[in-house]
Amino acid sequence: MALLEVHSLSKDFGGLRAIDGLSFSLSPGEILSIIGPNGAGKTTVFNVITGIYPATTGTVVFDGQPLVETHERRSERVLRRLLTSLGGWIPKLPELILARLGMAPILRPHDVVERGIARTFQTIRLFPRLTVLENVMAGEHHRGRAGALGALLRLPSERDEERRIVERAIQRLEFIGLADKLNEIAHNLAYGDQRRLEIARALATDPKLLVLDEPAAGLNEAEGLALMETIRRIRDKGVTILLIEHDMKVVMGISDRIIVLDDGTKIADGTPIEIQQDANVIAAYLGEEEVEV
Amino acid sequence: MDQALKYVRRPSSHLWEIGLLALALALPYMSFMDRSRTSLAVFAGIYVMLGLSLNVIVGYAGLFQLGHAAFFGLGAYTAAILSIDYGITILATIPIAILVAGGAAVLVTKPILHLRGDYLCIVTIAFGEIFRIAVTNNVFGITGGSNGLFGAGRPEFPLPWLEPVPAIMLAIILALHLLGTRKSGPVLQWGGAAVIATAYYLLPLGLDRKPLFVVSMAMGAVAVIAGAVLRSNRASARVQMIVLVGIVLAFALGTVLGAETITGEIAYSMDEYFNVDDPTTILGVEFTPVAFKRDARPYYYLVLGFIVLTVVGMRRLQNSRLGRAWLYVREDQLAAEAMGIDTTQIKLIAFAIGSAWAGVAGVLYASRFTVVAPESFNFLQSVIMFSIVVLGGSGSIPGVLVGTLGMVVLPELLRDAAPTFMYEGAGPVVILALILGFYLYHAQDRLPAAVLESAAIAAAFFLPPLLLGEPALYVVGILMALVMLIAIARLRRRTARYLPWVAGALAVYTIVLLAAGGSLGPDLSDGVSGFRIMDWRDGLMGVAMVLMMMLRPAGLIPERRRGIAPVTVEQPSEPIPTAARQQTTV
Ligand SMILES: Nc1ncnc2c1ncn2[C@@H]1O[C@H](COP(=O)(O)OP(=O)(O)O)[C@@H](O)[C@H]1O
Ligand SMILES: [Mg+2]
Repeated sequence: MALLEVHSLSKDFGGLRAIDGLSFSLSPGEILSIIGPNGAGKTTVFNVITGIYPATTGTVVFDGQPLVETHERRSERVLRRLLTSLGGWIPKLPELILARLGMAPILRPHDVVERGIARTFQTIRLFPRLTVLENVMAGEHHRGRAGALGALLRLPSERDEERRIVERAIQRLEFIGLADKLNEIAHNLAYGDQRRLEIARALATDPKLLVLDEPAAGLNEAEGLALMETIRRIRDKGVTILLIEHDMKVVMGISDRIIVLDDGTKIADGTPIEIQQDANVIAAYLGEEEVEV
Repeated sequence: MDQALKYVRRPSSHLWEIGLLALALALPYMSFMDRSRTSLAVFAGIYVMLGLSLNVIVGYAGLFQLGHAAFFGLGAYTAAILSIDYGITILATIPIAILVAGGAAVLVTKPILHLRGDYLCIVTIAFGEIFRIAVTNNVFGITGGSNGLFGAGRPEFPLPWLEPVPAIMLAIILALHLLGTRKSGPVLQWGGAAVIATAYYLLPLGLDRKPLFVVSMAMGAVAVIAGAVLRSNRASARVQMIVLVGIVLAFALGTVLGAETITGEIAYSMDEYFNVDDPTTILGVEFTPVAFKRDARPYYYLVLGFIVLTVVGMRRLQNSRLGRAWLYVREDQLAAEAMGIDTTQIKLIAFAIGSAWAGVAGVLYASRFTVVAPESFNFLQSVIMFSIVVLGGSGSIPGVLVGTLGMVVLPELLRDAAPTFMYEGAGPVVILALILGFYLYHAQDRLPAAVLESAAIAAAFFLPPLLLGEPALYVVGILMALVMLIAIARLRRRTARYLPWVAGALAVYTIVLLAAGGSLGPDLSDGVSGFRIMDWRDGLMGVAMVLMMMLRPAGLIPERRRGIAPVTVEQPSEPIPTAARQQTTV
């Protein structure tokens, strides 16, 4: 069964159609890359999947559960909006009601993380003034339980949890190779390290699907290669990967499958070798840059 | 501390805290503290609590709240209504005030949490005003309209008096353990215990036992200093322990020997501050039911206790999962959301906790003044609270203390001191300008520090005569200013360059004063001519605040966190904590 299924997804920004009827699916353990020229709508796909923007039409199913659902009646939309505003006062109640009615839940980005999708950003969005360790600990947050009372009374359970959070965060940093910098301020890290830190932070949420938005942007050749190696290692740990890249040659080596997006529509879908020989792709990339093998 | 936890919970020495606490405990007994100043200290203490509570919202979570006075007021009105109409003893209304203020905050902020920055700001102002107008209009007929409510009760509670001194010491040490000083070594702990035990004994006794008080205080101080010295010399834990046990035994012995007289006089002394009932015995411990009178001193200790509680609580919140979440939200809300943090809920919790605690401050306020009226909770008060947080440094606990000094205490002191602070010439202005001028001339590289330092020097110069109302003390002031200057110059290793300037400034000051009127210092007899600080108070405050925020945008004492610059990053010698590793030192 597919881990992620995107079905006829569209997203309009005012009059601009950024994604147009996009469908694709992603199997567990796969590395799927979305490539395409600037402005093709790659980031927008990510933003819709991760709950930052609502979709205009289409559905997204993740792990057998609906993430995004848009074909609904007006009355349903009104009900959903009403329940959303109720949400903070009576937690979980709106979800219960929606589930009863068989409607897709109201998902905000943090709910999507809870479901098992973690992401990085195209322009690095670390917490720049916090330490490397604190950045990674952010990803651990949603699995913690300690609240204000536990903190005030410094209960044993709270201390245990804190210790576990730190230890796990350190393990992530070891995995990504930043453990020796855990006390440094994120802002002071070298650019490549910041990219890796962002990945470590996303991994800390323990995702089933890791969504990376141009992780190699701004890296030099050697750093780019090392990054690809890291991505492969992450996949080998059982995390499925959805990767955006602007630059085709970067993804050729590691992708199982590649989707090419142009102007919001999918123009090709296949293995790296198929993509390289695809006439549509070559045409789309012509004005932009040479496709190199 | 746990190997892993040391990265997020930095062990602090508590030296500053204990020193400050000792000072705070002794404050009401200092010679310049009269009735009105003790009252002012209580009032300021309530504002410290308000500042700390608002700090959760503004400092930790980075949200705007310009209607905080409403929640302060909710607490105060809750306490007053319950106390007047239902006869509930006032301190017992605290849990209800927490529920009312916290609950109101949740209801009211829930719909507006998604607003950003300035919009949130405007809406909170509106809420503050709605509250004030509602209570002025006597909603539900329970708020007493624009005159407010009269006759809220004063605090009353059974005061335990434990005969055996060691038991108290033990209890205090236990309390300190729980407060988390365990890691700061035995020294500070025992020293702090000595100081606190002293206060416990002297609280009800007033000035009668001044000598014993001084002795105990000194011993507490010795313990703390000895502890610090031993620690910085890296003396082994055993040596530290022996020295400390010695000090504490001496202290305990002294207290036990003095105990007879203390208990003998307690009833007499307590009458001064409390309405005392007949003691009752519960489980072998004697309790004396006491009720506060109008006198400010018991309130001072009550509020101080609450402040200590608040500070400890805030520290813990700051260093917890929740505190980090606030930090993430403040630094980058979208990134926090993308990390699985429910930012709406996190912000809501910040509002709930901050407002609930403002409600507690409200109860204290109602119990202190027994009158609760709408104008105490108006927009200006919200602005003052907001300024306390921002002026002192958002997110910084010491910042709130300093901010309160600046926003609440200083203006009152200047009002108080107006008659004393009347000069025949423009003396103070001249000296301030001179010191500032020379600093600015020489220290362009470190402008904020220069301004602060010159203010410190000027303060050292003006404060003794100002606080004590004794012109002769200007000599002391000059000496103190010199000492301060030398200390600063030594710290910055520029002694040679600085000293002539200050000497020059002081000389000019003297000449100006002599030329203008002939006497060195304020002339108390002539109230007509001269420069009156009082007339300029609000203007000066405004200018000072604008300057301050220009020079130190992060506040007077910016939040000091591991991650927030400026920091020196220590490289951990051992990045990977192994849980199995045991400490083998004694
Ligand atoms: N928040 C937004 N509001 C309006 N237009 C947007 C927004 N986000 C993206 N777009 C537009 O959608 C199109 C696709 O953008 P994007 O997904 O960022 O492209 P890519 O990541 O492939 O470079 C662009 O034309 C962009 O201008
Ligand atoms: Mg993009």
